[in-house]
Amino acid sequence: MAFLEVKDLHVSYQRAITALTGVSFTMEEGQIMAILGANGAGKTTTLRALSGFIGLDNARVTKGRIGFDGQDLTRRPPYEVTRQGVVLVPERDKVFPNLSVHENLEVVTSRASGTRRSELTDLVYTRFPRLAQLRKREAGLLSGGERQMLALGSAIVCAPRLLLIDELSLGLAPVIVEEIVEHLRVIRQDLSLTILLVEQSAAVAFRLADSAVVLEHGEVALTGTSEALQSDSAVQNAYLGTGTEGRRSYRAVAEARRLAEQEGRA
Amino acid sequence: MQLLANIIVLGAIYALISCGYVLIYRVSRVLNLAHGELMMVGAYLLLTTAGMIPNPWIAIPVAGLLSLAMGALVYLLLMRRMTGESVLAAILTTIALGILLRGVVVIFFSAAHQYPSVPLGLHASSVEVLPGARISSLSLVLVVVTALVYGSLFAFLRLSRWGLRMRAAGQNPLLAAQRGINLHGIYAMVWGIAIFTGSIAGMLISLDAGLDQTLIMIGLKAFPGALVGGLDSLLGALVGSLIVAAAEVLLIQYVNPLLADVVPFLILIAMLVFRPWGLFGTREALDRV
Repeated sequence: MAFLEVKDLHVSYQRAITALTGVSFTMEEGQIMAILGANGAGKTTTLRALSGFIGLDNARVTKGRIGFDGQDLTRRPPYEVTRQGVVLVPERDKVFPNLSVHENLEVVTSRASGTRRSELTDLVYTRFPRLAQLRKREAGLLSGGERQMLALGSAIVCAPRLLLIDELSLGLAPVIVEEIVEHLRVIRQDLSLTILLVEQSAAVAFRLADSAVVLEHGEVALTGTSEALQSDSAVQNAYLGTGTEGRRSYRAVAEARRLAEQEGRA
Repeated sequence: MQLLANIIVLGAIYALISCGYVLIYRVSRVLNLAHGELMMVGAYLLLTTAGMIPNPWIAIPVAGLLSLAMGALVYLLLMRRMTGESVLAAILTTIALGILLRGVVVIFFSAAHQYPSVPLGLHASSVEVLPGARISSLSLVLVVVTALVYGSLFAFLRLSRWGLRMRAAGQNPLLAAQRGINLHGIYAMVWGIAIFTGSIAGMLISLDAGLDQTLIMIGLKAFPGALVGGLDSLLGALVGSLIVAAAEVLLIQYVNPLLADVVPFLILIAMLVFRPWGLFGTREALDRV
């Protein structure tokens, strides 16, 4: 059984607008996977569905199943999902602006014991020394990069086994992204984390991830290892700016490939 | 001097009530317009416990605990269903709850003016607090209780782990839930504390002045205090309550006693026109109402 198994996931907003129409994929423990796709393809919705909806966001899972390490996490509220070790770093509003850096780490409520908590807090301060300098600073006064470090840090204190990261690089200078990616790699080693990330920047995604899922219109259009996808012409065109062909839909590419395979078999 | 003492007593009453409006608004962004009614029910709880156990040292704490449970139950049984609905729907629900409670109270306790102080054998005496200023001993107790309540609330929100979670849930409920905080637990707790403090105010007022449905009016008159200070600020509720009380006492003294019930709402309207987010409130907080 897979570590994370997403099966035929349907999500709709406001009881009417359908955002996901049958997303399925699986992840193994220790993997780093990226979700790619155009704006509105359902990347963020997929992550949010995994981390759990709450009445406040007007979204709900209408069909499908989310299995994590032998447990059913479908339609569980975020605080239960977090306590199971599936922790989201959201794209926006990722820290509590009126709490200090230290309070942002302290407010976390997890199933980790007291000693484990302080170990994780120490780990965050060791790996992100910048946060240790800013312990007392209000989070609302942090720069974008510091805020992203704090968001990662507070997720780490939740004792994650599967970390969901929405837009690690968005709005940050390349140098800062570089730094955060390096920190994240080290922490991933420390805690043997499994990571699922959504990235606008395919370059960043492929540097971190060993495989990827490409979403289009709320459905999975392509899946594969990073190497395979990087050499895929459609992905090159849309994300890496290295392709030579004109823009094509991934679905069209996938369809064409499927037909070619069928012909090959026949 | 007597005027100053009156202002402080009235300000303390308003402050003890209005912190309930602020707590619930600050943590869950819901304006509880049934606060006056719930506070009245709290006072009737004291009437009930006083009828059974005629000892103030037992009857008052028991009624206090019951009102704490009542607040939590209002959230768990009713307001919990409003999470995710529009804020307006939640506010209308509290109005409906208030109207319902008025009826229920008449059915169970009659509309007659009653005195919980009688079975408890409490008599208010007059105390000289400042040279030339006398207030009733129960008013003195009320001022002390208000100071204690505000002191503990500040300490609780600043220093305790649960207070930290409350502040986080007030800033961003979704992120709070994603950081493992059980929002329903936090909201139930804040409703419990808010109704507890309101009920304590209702109990102390009714020990002094007796108890009937006019208590709701006092609950409503405390609301401008919360708004003047800024709905999401505890310090604001304290200062705002004192401002409203000062205006009320001075206008009664120097202009016309009939203004008593009007003044707080005149201030409320003036405040809504000129500075709707209050003296200490945050501007963006108001957009969500």
